[in-house]
Amino acid sequence: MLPVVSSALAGVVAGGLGALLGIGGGAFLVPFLNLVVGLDFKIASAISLVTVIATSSVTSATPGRLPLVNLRLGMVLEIFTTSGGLLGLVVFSRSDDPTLKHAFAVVMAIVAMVMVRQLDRRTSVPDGHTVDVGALGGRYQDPHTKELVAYRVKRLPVAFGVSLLAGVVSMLGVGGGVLKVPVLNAWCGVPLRTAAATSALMIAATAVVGSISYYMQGRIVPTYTAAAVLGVLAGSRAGFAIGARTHVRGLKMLMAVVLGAVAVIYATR
Amino acid sequence: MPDPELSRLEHQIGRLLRVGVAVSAAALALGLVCAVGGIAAGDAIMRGGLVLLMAIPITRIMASFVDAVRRGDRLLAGATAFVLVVMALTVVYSWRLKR
Repeated sequence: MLPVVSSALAGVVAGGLGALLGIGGGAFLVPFLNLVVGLDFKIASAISLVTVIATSSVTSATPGRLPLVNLRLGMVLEIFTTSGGLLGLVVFSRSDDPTLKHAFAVVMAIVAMVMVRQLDRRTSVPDGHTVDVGALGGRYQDPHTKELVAYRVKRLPVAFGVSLLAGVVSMLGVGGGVLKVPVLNAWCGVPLRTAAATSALMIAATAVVGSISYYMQGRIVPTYTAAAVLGVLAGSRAGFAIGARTHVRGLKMLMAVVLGAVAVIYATR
Repeated sequence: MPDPELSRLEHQIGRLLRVGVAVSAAALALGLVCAVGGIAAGDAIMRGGLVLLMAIPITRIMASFVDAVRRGDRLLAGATAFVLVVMALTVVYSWRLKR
């Protein structure tokens, strides 16, 4: 009974923080389930990956969010995120526990660094009607300025590469959005809102690859997983509600420090 | 302006995601209550909820594939077909790993 309650609580906290900070809950849920609730690392990452499907689906279905998604770009990049996922499954199935934890430490360190260094450059052209956006570019209406914004996708190989890498690391129980979004925004010319919304939609497909495999391998314990998914859904709802009214700069710095500490813990195991 | 056909697909995807997550969450909650209360069916209901959750993105990709074929969009049809093949390969790989 107690592990079920603590899994649900871990989900609430991870979902809430993920929504507040805009990085998805996996980065918090895996260490919570592993270090606090005491589940095995492989079980914790499998459960976390299932909750990622739920958060991704809910985030994408939020009204006003789906029009920001670039479906064409998302579905092309899904080729790489899902292939990366399968590659990650093959590689990690041959890795021992310390190797997995060290890899997770590296991912946590990257998440912490991305949180500290928020990349936001202006990459879109306001006059959206006349610009040729190419096969994968797009247009969207900025919710604040009401301007139609157009953008082209640049440096496609970079977008493909980061998607493949995000797919591989997803199999450790995180979504991978924290890698894709800054790169798509800073190097590939995709506006931040579009990059975030498109990445959120893609993440569910990547997470499904891992979830199917972990489910078949018996790594997904139904009670803990159900509790965690329900917790994450409640937590992210609360997180979005609070986040709409609050500035989270201080919290971001604090959580970057926490994740940095988590990275150190996993690096030394 | 945004492509109206693609907007319609977006609309349908949005509904699929919302309804899918709601039904899955209801099954997980019901199953969890049953399991904690010692009712044997709880495990099966939770597993149903989990399978349903995993089916949501797969359904989205299948719907996008059908839509892309119907509109003659080769790029999207090819991309979605590739992703579905990767998912099928994952099932085969995991099944072999289990044995």
